[in-house]
Amino acid sequence: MKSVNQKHERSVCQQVTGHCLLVTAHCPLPTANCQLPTSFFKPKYSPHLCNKNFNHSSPHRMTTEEFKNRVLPIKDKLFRLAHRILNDTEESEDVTQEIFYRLWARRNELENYRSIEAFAMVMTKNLCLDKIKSKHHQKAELTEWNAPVDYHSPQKLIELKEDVSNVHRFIQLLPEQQRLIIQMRDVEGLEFEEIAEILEMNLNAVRVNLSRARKAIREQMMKKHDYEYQRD
Amino acid sequence: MNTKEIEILIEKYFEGLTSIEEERLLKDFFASGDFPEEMKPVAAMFGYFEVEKEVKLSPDFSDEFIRQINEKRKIPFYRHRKFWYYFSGVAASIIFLISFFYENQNSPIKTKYTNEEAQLAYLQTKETLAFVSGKFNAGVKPLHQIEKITENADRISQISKFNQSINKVNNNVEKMQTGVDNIRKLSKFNIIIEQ
Repeated sequence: MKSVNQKHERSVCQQVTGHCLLVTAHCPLPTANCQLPTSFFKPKYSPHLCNKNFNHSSPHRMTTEEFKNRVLPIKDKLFRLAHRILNDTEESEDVTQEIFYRLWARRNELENYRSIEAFAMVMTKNLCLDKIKSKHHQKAELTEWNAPVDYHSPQKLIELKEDVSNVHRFIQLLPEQQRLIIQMRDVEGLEFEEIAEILEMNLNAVRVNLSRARKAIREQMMKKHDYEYQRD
Repeated sequence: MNTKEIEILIEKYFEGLTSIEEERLLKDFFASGDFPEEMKPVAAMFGYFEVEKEVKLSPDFSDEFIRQINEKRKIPFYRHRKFWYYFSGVAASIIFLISFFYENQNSPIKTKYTNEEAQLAYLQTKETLAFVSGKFNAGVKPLHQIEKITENADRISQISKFNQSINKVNNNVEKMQTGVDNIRKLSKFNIIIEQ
């Protein structure tokens, strides 16, 4: 018997059952190799124990109201994630909507997931990456980003406006995985365990990449500062 | 939190070792605006993340989505698609077979007509044909116009003869022109020689 911590592979489940969530027909993830880690699922529904007759769906059907209250609230998180990857507001909106269509289609199975939010983020990430690969997507163009000035902020923060805008640019220059980690940790405030789960990395790799990313941003900022001081 | 403690936290932060709580402390510290000049880059980073946290979809995204869900409620049939395919195929075959057998059981086709009916039919047919031929003649009249086309065709052929003679004149004129050009060239040549 395989251990519960091992990553669950699609092919394994196909042999055993026709009803399991992870089988091709039901797997919500668009990428070719569905490799949802077992931790995604509540312990009760360990996929290695699934059999043909076991119906994974929850006993009750999720109503529209429930969906609205439990699933829709994560829409902003998903949008921000999509935007971090795609850099395009309109496309990110489309992606978010598409993800919710898929979540809606699986609404009765959502009960099986430990965290619907984590699951949805995986779907979003995969869909965005697929989009980048499939169509001839312009390389993450450095879009203009201007810090909104809040006139109630302390003076010093208003002066920082330009620096803050630069941070955006420097993040866009980071490699994809580091960008995602920054987004999930510094913007969304997710714990390392969740980030590791969503990005399918181990904990230490998350920490190391986060550190690298943060340092890279700081370095760029200081370079810019030095340049400006030299000019004076 | 004094500056020293903050500095320690900042170093931890860049090593990726701070907890969510510690990061919140740093955030609050920078939000106050009260930090030394050299901490500007870090402050900018935290400022940026704060702004990004507020990015949201339009407020009616949810309602819009629910509305679309309700509109697109799948027709119950859709769920058992395969079933309905087979069912309709079988039903169609059954209906076809039934009508086939039913047809054979029907009364035989009427073959005999009475004499009167035959004559009546004959007269009607004759009338119809006469009507049709009359219409046909009327329709043919406009075709007489075609004769005029042949008249005009003759005229056109005369014009083409005229064209031919003009072309001949043109050719002669061109020949004259080239002759004149040649004479000019010769005269230029003469001038050069004289020089």
